[in-house]
Amino acid sequence: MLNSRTPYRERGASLIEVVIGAAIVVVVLIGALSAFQVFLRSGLATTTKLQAAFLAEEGIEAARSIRDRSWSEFSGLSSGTYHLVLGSQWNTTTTPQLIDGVFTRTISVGDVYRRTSDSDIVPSTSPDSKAIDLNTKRVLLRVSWGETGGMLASYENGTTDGSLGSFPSNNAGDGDVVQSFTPIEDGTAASVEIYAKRAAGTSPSAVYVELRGGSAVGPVIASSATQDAASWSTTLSWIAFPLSSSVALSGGTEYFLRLRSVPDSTVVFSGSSGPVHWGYRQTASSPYSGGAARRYVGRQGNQNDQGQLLSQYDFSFRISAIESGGSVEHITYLTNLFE
Amino acid sequence: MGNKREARSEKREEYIYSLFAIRYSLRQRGFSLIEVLIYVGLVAVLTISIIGTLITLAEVYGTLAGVKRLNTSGASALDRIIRTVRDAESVDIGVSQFGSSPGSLTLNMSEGSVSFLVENGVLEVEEDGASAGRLTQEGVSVSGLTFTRVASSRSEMVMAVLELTTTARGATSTKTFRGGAVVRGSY
Repeated sequence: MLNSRTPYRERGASLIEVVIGAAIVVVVLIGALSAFQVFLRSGLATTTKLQAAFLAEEGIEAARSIRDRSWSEFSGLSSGTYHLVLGSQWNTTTTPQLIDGVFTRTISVGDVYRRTSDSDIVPSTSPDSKAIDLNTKRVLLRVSWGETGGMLASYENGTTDGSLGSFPSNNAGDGDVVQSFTPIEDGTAASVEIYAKRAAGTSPSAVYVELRGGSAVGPVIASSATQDAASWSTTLSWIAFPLSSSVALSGGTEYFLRLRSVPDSTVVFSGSSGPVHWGYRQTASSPYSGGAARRYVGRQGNQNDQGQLLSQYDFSFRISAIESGGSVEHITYLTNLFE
Repeated sequence: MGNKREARSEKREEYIYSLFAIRYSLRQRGFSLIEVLIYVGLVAVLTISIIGTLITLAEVYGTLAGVKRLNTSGASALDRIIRTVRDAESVDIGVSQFGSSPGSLTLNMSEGSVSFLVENGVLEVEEDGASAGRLTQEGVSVSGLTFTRVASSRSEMVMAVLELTTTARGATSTKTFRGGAVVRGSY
């Protein structure tokens, strides 16, 4: 009895067996986790597709609205690709419009051929006898979206909570705050985030961001919609400013991220109120090597004033890139109902 | 003499150990300290990674469940709004609230009227002023609803921007659904 158990006791799992066993368990776990990551990605992508489908439907309806307003205006869109923009009416523009920082919606209107024999719509390549129908147009609506790619540039260690630029200055016209940055490589910027808050007990003016080329007062290459800073948290947090149109940035080139306000903080007695605190960090050698902070930019209404260079300071920011994600297309035919 | 006794005693010990093989094997082939440390380390690492995996899976499940709630509510609510707008005869401009959030929309149908409005974070639909149910499901709150209307001499169009928020395991996610339609009854 005891003897029969003895060999058992003598042959336990060797160390190498245990290590191999553990490795197998770990590999299985990693496999299960990466599978779940794929599920999560496709699960999250469903919302994007749903949003895009609604945007495409709305775009077709917007085309219908333009058609109703003026057939000549609508049929005049026959060449080229346009973006839809909503003012007091739907209009078309050649300036790219970014929706929610993700979607791009384009519309193109094309000629429609009808077969002479039965007036059916046929392709332009049809060998049958056909003619262009001047009172029908083919509408191709395309919604494409990007997926957030990596960071083009970022500095996230600026966690000091303070009012470096007294921005937006309380009616004093003290100007804007600016952080310059250098993208590591070429890319398309779609969204900007800054690490900011409103000072406790204050109700700052609405703010927005601008990307400028050349200098802090150089040409505006992209801007965001305004954000209601009065509703911000009173502790520093990341605040996203989706750009109203995506912009291509070149790697190795310095760009300027300028915080602006409505009413304009560069104008004395404009009614601007603050302050907004933009998280920063100061070190003897600039903490972020790709750029520097500035304050008092454009002060006293002087739009060429580059303000004061704060070479030892940097504000926290993120410039995120966008990559091609996917697209949906709708095609419809609209006829001239009224003219 | 002493040696002889020792030898005998050893022999007896061996005999006892052979009887109690457990003690025998433990004594002869025990685990070294380093082996025990490695085993304990492995068990600890495996346990931590398994628990980490389980936590991650639970988070993934929570996120996906939240996304599903947002998608279902967004799709059904916006679809209902768009379909009703399309079927409507006209928009009741006096009652509807455009351009602000939370807004409301009242449509004149061929018979009666249909309204969409937000009450306590729930998107409600009303028929002829009487509640006809909710369009967003439990766990989803409407954090924004803005209606916009554009009109020409021939037709009018209504756009809706619906912002939904859900909280899953402490993580809040918000999605914006935008849609719109031309009021067909305006032709």
